[in-house]
Amino acid sequence: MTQLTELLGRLQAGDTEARDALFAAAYPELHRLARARLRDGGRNTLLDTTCLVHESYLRFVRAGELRAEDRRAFFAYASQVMRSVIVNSVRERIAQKRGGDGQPLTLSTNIVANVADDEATVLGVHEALDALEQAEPRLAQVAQMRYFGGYSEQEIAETLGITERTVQRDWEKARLILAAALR
Amino acid sequence: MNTSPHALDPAPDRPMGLSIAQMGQMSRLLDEALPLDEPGRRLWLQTLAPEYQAVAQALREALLPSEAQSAHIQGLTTLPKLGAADEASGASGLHPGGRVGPYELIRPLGAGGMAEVWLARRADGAFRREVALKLPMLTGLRADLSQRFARERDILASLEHPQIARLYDAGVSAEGLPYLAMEYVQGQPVTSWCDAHGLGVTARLQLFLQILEAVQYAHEKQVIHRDLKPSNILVTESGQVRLLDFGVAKLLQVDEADQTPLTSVYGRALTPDYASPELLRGDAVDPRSDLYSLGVLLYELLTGARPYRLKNAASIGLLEQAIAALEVGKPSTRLKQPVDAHGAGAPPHLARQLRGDLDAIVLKALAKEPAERYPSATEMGQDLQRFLDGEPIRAQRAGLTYRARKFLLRNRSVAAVSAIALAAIVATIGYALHRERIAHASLAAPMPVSVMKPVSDKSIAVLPFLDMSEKKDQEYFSDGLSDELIELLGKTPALQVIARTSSFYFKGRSEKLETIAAELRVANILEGSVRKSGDKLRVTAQLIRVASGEHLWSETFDRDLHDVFKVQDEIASAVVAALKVHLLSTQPAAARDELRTEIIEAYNQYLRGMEAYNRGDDDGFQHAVAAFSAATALDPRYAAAYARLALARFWQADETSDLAGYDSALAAADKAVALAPGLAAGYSARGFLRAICQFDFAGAQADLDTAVALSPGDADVLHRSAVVLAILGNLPAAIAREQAALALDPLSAEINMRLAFFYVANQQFAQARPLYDKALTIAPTSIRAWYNLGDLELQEHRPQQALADYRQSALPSFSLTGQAKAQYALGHYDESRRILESLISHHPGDNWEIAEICALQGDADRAFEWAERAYASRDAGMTWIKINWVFRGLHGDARYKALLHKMNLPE
Repeated sequence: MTQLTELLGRLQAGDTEARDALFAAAYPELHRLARARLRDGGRNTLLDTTCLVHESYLRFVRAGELRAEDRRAFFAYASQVMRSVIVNSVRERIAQKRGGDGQPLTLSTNIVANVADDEATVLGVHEALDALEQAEPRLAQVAQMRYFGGYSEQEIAETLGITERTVQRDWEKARLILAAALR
Repeated sequence: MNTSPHALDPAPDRPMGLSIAQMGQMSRLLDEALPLDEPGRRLWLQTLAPEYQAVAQALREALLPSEAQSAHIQGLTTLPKLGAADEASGASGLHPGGRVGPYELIRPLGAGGMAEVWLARRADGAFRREVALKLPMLTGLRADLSQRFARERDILASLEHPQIARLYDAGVSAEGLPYLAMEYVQGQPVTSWCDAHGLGVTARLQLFLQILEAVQYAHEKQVIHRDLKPSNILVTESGQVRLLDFGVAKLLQVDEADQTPLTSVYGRALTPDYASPELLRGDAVDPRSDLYSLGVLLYELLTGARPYRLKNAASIGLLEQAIAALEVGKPSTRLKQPVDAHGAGAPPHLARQLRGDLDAIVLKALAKEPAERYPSATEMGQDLQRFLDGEPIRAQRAGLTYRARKFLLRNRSVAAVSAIALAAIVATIGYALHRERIAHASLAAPMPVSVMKPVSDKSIAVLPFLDMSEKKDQEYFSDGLSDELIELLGKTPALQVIARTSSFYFKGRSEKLETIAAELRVANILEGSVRKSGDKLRVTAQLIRVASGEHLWSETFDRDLHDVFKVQDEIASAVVAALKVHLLSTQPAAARDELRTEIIEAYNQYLRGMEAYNRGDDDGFQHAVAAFSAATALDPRYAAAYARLALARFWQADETSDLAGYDSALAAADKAVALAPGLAAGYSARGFLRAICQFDFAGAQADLDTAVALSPGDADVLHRSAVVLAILGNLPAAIAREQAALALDPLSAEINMRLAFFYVANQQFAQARPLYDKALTIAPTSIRAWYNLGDLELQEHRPQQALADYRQSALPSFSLTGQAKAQYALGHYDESRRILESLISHHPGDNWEIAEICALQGDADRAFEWAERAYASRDAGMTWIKINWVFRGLHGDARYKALLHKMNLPE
């Protein structure tokens, strides 16, 4: 715990490297959350994920106060972790089903025929999101939090510092664009 | 998947459908098009500029979902479920037939969060029975899990109760996977079961009582559930309640040091809706935390909804804050639809049932502070049972606020504590029910032997005259008339007249005269009716000798309103004559006239003021002040009105500790004395105010002695005088005087309680007890009475009983003060200190109470520090300092003497 306390101290002094280190320390936890999310998909209420992330966040703020931006950053980071974990899991599964090829998988390699729709969708969204990040960063952020993070609109609004209405519009657009990209 | 009709082509490399630039374009174009309606969108698409043709198709599909329904668009809302059966690497394969420890898996029963539940059986066939095998998917488990499991498992396995699902076994498999083998229960969550079977309130409560029993059993075995909620409380087909997962929460704590409020049992958050505030905060948790969850459940069972009206439950941070801050609404107001789906509990009927007692029970269970909840499941069950049996419950009904507490704290004598408690309940429909309960409660608590005397022939009670006006809106007048008669007759020394509080106790009830007379210990009763319409007055009155039922006298008066005083005089004279009492009034006629006013409207205002004053609530005093002021404006020589004004103004100022108001009250009292030096009321009021506002006890005693001399048959005056005597430390005299007051006002909860208090201060415990009982019979919700009873128990070295009594006191200030004292007496020093600190931070203004606790805890320095604050704020509690049992040991302390000196009290 002392390592974290030290990190927190540096964080409060505005050390961004410390922040990254701090958040990295949260990784195992977030990893666990992501796996849970992966298994349950959209079946569980959105409440679960955000509260799990919040809880994880709380562990680290017990010792001191993080500023509002830090909380936001943490939540944004968490959704990023979720995304990477989920995507990795999906790739693993595909690899396993195919007998563990060891080849890096992207949809652009021609393995579509053996991959289930759902898994293909996840990978597809992931790749499209990469592109969207370059075109419309905020739309991509919202989409990542919603789709991979499973955050509620309110949580996203809070994290990004925008209104819920904006979140709704952003998500609406992002969805349509991503869907178009997956055709 | 793309099933294009041109599938003959080899499946091409799948390029991204959109380039980055195209995505940007789409975004901007959607901004334009999304706000449009369908026809608008069509038009917009048609007129789309040519450079956007590449994205036109995509836009068309996006904007016009009726065409080319793409599954992707519809489905792209959230992550698809990618299979539950196979877990992450590391776990042994969970599939039917797989082995976990000694068990063989049969089929999955369900999964949630980080745990899966499988139906399983023993692989070695040792037991044929099937179990529910719970498999928490924990990562980050501690190495000593097996040991911890073993320890806790034994405790949990020992929970043997028909309503609790058994834990048969717990362990860790060879692969390191923990498992819990539990009784396999098939049932529905209690909430849906009740709805499905259309149960009404009574049936739901009975089911709930079953739950409480089971919880109590577990608590007695030191097991706290921590996660009670409907999905853990199932009802089987046969209607039996079964509780699941008892103690499992603790068993699976991932890392105690790391415990956060929402730390999940299985890595997944506890349902926050049912979690107690202390659990959410991460504080220590005791069995009362379970009771909170049950409170939420009860709320839900009764109203169909959970108690928190949170705008958006998605953010836990907000939820935490919100729970800590919010006021839970009463279940009866929250009722959305009939609880009974078949309509047997239509909302108005159900709301009526809920209002009052059930509200009180539920809200008590949902108190933020554990100390304010029911201390055990048993006690909650008992209160519910009382409700079902139609008996008075222990939980406090809503209505008494801090103001009321201050109100009660003072030595009020005019309106008994019972009147206040009743007033608070009047608003609810349950009032009639409550009155019934009081009627049936035994009123015949034995009086102290020393006060027993034979019922005199010359004793009389004036029952409130009935209001016979057409609209029944003249009750203030008929009450006022009865009041005046009591006063008039009271001035006759040879006649023993029961005080207003006691004789008005039976107002609105059809109690037999014999019963009333026996209760009040009188031989005669005067009753009648008043009809005031416009300027006309009709009064009927009759005097009855109860034992024989004989009408000693009766008459009907048809007069002008202006003659009302004459009518009163005539009635009084007739009574006096009929009872063969010599009218040796100590007051000459002239003095009697000082009581009254010539101006009828002033009298009217006076009566209005009395009515408002006797209501005893916040508005009451304001209206009273207004009315009495109006009376004195109309008749500047109306001494009686000034006397009442003084008191009304005091109570009004007291609510906000408005010192300027105290001054104006005293001024009014001075005026009353100046205008009518033969009038007891002025001295009585001034004496009271001198004591309370100025701590001028010597002056108070002088005034009150004068008042007693002028009006020896007045219970109020006797009572106030007794109080001042006690404050000055003269207990024997105080007791004698209070006994006299009690004889005239036997049904005043306040006087009963105060006499008991004096007895206790004088170490006459045995005599105190029956009086407390009587006070509580009259006013079962009396905050002060329960608190003082607790003090009695402490002094008789029964701290456990004291604790129970203190808890009955519904106002947190009193309840917590008492509990702090009792816990200390029980040796629970930490708990005592904790409550003290909580009191300090949450209940400002309880300076004297805090001082007392500190003194009890042996911290004299702190005690005096707070006593000084109490003095600065003129805290009423500290007027009893001379006879306060806790401070007895500090009598030698210089600071104590200094305090007495400041308060003008003799040493």
